Amino acid sequence: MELDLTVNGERHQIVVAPGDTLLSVLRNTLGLTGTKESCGRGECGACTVLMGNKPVMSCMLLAVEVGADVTTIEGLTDTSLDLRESFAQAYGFQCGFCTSGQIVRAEALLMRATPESLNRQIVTEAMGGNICRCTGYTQIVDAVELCARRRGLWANEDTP
Amino acid sequence: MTQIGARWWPQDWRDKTSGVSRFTLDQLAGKMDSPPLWAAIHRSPHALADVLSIDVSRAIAAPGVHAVITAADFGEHMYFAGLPFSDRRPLAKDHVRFIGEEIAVVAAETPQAARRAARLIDVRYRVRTAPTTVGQALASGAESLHERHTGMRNVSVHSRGTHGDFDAVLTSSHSKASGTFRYPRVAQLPMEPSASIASWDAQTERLQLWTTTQVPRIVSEVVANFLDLNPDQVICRETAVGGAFGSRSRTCEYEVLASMLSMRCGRPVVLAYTREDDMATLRSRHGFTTAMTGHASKEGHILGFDTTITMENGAYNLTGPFVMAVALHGLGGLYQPVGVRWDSSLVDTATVPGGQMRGLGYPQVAMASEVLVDQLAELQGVDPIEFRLRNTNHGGQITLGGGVIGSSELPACLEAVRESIGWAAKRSDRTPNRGLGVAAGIHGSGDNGGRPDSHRSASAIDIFADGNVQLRFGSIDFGTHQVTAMAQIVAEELGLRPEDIHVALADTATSPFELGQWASRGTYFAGHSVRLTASEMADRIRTLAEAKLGAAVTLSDGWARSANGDLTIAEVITSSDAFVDGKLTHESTYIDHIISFDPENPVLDDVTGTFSFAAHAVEVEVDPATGKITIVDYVAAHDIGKAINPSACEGQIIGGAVMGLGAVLGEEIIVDGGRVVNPSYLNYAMPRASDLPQIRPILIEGATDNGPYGAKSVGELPICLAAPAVLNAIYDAIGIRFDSLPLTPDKVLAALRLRDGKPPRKLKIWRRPSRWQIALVRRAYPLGLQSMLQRFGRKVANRVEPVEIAEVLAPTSADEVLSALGDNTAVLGGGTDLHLQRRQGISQHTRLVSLRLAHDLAGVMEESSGDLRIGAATTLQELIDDPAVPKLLHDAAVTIASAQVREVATIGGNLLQAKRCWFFRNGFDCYKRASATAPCFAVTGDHRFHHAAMEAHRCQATTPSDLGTVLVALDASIEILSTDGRRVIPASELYSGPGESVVRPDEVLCAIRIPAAARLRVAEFRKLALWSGDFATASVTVSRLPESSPHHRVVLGALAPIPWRAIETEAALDRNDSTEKVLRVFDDELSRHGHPLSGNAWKLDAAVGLLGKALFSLSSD
Ligand code: FES
Ligand code: FES
Repeated sequence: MELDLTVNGERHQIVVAPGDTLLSVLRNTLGLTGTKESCGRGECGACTVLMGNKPVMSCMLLAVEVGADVTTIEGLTDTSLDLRESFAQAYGFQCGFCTSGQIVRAEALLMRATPESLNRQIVTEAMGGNICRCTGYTQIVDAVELCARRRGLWANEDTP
Repeated sequence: MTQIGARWWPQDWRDKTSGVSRFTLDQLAGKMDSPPLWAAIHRSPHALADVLSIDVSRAIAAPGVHAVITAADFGEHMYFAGLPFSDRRPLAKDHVRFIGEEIAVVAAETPQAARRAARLIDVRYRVRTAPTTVGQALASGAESLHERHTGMRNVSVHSRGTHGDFDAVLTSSHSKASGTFRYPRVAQLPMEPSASIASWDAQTERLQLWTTTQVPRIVSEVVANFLDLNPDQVICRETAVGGAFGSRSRTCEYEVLASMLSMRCGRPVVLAYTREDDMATLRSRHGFTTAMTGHASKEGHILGFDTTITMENGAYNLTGPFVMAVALHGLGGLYQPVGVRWDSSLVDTATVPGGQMRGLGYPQVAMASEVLVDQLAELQGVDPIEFRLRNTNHGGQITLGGGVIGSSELPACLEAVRESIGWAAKRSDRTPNRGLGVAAGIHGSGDNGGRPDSHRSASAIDIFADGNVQLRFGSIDFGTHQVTAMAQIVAEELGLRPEDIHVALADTATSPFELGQWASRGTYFAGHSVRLTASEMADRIRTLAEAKLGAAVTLSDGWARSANGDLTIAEVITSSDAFVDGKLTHESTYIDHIISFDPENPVLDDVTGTFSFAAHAVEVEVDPATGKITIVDYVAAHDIGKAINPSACEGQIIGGAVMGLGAVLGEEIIVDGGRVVNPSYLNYAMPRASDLPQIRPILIEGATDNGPYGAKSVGELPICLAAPAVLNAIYDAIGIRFDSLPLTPDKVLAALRLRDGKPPRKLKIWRRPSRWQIALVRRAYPLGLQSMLQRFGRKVANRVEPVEIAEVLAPTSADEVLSALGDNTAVLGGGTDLHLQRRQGISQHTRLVSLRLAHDLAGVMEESSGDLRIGAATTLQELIDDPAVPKLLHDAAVTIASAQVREVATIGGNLLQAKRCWFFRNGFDCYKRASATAPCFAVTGDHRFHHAAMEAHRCQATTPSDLGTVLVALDASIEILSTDGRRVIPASELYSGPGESVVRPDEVLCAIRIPAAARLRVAEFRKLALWSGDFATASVTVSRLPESSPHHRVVLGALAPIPWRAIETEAALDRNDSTEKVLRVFDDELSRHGHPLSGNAWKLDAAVGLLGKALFSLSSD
């Protein structure tokens, strides 16, 4: 069936099967391979994309069910440069396979945060759906904290 | 040194943080010359059987199929080789020895066609009784898996011996401590699923391979050998690899199979594993049972250890013998022991073969030895850190295995963690149920890996006319940041910045000889090799420049600088005679003089480039109410010589410690009858971000040794010390010495009960006639009923291929939803369970009716009556965000799954999700899945967490929905719509069985209604789960009206098949009994209704603990 899908600001008219997941459409039809599949079961967060401004697991979402514009890691390359730099500076990745999902998830959190609303615990809990087998998480949370501080979203009372 | 020791950002950060890096399957986008074929494997359904015949004719004839290969396509004597004792063929031949063993592989035009064809392969078996545990394998009369030469049934390798002078240990022994320790099988679980793309070009007779590996060169060799090619005909190309942790340090099945198929078909072939494939069929860590005695002299000298190790090998040797050897070296290396004696057996079981994992055997033995060291310290009345300091290693020492210790900063490590965790203060000023523990360890940097060429590593540097610099190195960076370290080294030597260096990895056609990253050799060999090549290149540039400039030259910022003027490096090299093909190239080979290989004794000796040391200290808290262990603080100090990049080293330490903590707190590959029960992230309790505190690494530098710039290895040791450190801390906290991992709440609660002298719960089943039949059946299960049902029950569950969806409808109102229902039709909410059920072969629906646009099913509405009406399609996140929603519902919703799931998952879908029993979900032919005459696998299988401890019947599952539990405590009702109209039932009547509702297929659950009065209820929800976001193993909800007649509700989740109200306890609360009395009433009520399985009575205790907590919070509200 025909589908009208806007990804990273670009409108695509594509043909999909009713059972195609958003993840497979992104990767296989549109060639956007930055979004990863690690479980295909909604359990790891590697496939996280933004639907509107909501973080969702694209492996568990049928493409025909997508009701808003989609943003993938490729669409955040420029707009989230500061977050990406924070991941680099804090060593928030090792193998990098989970990283697209981590960054998209973190951006969704930062986008919705109000000034000085975040702290270590909120970030840690928010990132709970994104498994990382390499880093042990500390440096991922460090990265999000670093970026949140730069954007003025960090509650001042707890200095690291 | 300016680059060495600098915190340069990762060399690959731009690509890795923007999705540009290409992992194996990403290579498909645009790189292949012709469209690829897809491979699918036909795997053994039996744990042990003789293969009588394999008929592939129907598969070959299936549409879209290009080739099918079996063992007959490989040479008679082909085994996964390179190690002694090799016994595994690329495809099973006359026997299968574990469930999931590869028998045949298909290549077809699409993944679906390949899977369909793979199912058409007809294999006839003679099934044998499979020994699937060590106990069964060693029992007399057990079937043998292989002919072994040990003279012992199912013992693949038996090794007995001593290092050092063990008699002296016994003579001087003054104190001794013993224990038997069990380290479970755990999975490496790299995030990128295993995959290979192989592409054979008949014209050039070359095979290109993109694959998830740690060892490109070894893969080329082994694949070439299997395919009867020369190694240079198999080219591993550079690709990003999403983690490995040892699992990819040898050639894997998928590499060989994809290559063979591609050669057959002359087309690229993709073989991609699912997460379930990876978890059920890849080589996990060997489980160890380690009986050990530690000895100390009167003066407090740790003399040595005497140990009997039983290692579970799985079905094939692979790396078992190596793991065994390395496990023993740690014992003779740490401290200054005088002797070690061992007796170790590698036992074959008909389960997935074990393999290499980070730490290689040492985590399993360190768990024993470092706990015993604590016990020896206690016996001698010495503080555990002090005791270790008195026994610490020093430079120049020879280990009992013959290794030379160049330097040891172990004392500094111990002192650093003592200081950092606040050891002295916390050990003297105690907090109840909190404790501190410490552990120390040793690890090498590289070993011979059973290869005569393992002491070599070559690298090449090219400098181009424009001054660009490229390093060619035949390794792969699967997350160690080796690339960054190498770029820093080249930059250091050539006077450049790391970002000026391009590092080209892997490519076996263009990189010089290098074996890859395993055995902690990454930094040691790459560092030496790259330093050598880079410094020689620098010499050449300087010589050239000096000839031109006539003065001494230094290299900095891309310039050759001298007193007579400066030249750019490009200017220097382009005029050189050696500048050919547009570049100046220098290649060099590093030969290590320590690591050697003795063909007479191919199993490892304790020889390594340099030894590193570490000490970890941890503070834990044990919750005596629920048995949950919380890591409060964790400090890890590592003697790393010199950190080439401190941030990268810290990452290795943190990641390793967390992986180690996973095995301590929850991880375990659970096998039932040879089949892996929990092949999913959901069912595998690995740490999530919020499960652990920040891990605090400390780098101890300064030791001078054999490493490049003094660097020592840091990748593996961090995982090895979590277990003993935590075990020691728990003893400090509650006085119990645990010896079996993982330390799940069931074990902790059972041990606390024992410690406190509480007798087992009296259940008085004999006074409850309604339970007699169930009790009888349960008793008959292990006595033969289960195997009988398994033999004769109808088998359908293996049909797990998802059915195609023909149609997805999205009507705009509830009424339209109703009329869209029909045969093979399911209602689609967020899909987070439905799509999973489709993947698991449970849902066979082909038509889906989406609620997405049904406006009257969404949203939260306050009605004029004050009632709250929640549309069934309201997402969990909307519930959480809506201030009108009762706090109780909010509190329960935030514990469910993840933020991403909560964005789409609906309240209706949450209520109606199917049972989460891991047998039912993961392909076991069970009563609920296959047929009424099939068994329930939970009765004899692992039922500790997600099965009922009360009121269960044939099926032991529970209702997984937390919301289903709390809605009962909110006096909620459920609106159900059918063509006959609307019916309203109390939430307590929603379920007819575990994860089974009274909503018929022609009905739609349309709303949840919370009465105005109940919205005022004050309530608490307490949930115990294995990881944050997991389903409850037990939950308790308490609510009361803020009035003189409080009408308490006490509702239990995950305890009974459906949410269960504790009526008597409610009455006690209504009577305003004291908390103590209420808890007694509750405990008693549970005893009178509980009917746990053999391993889940602890859940009743946990429920009491949870209620206590809930009441405490409620009273302090
Ligand atoms: S791949 Fe989608 S959640 Fe794991
Ligand atoms: S960086 Fe490897 S899984 Fe997160």
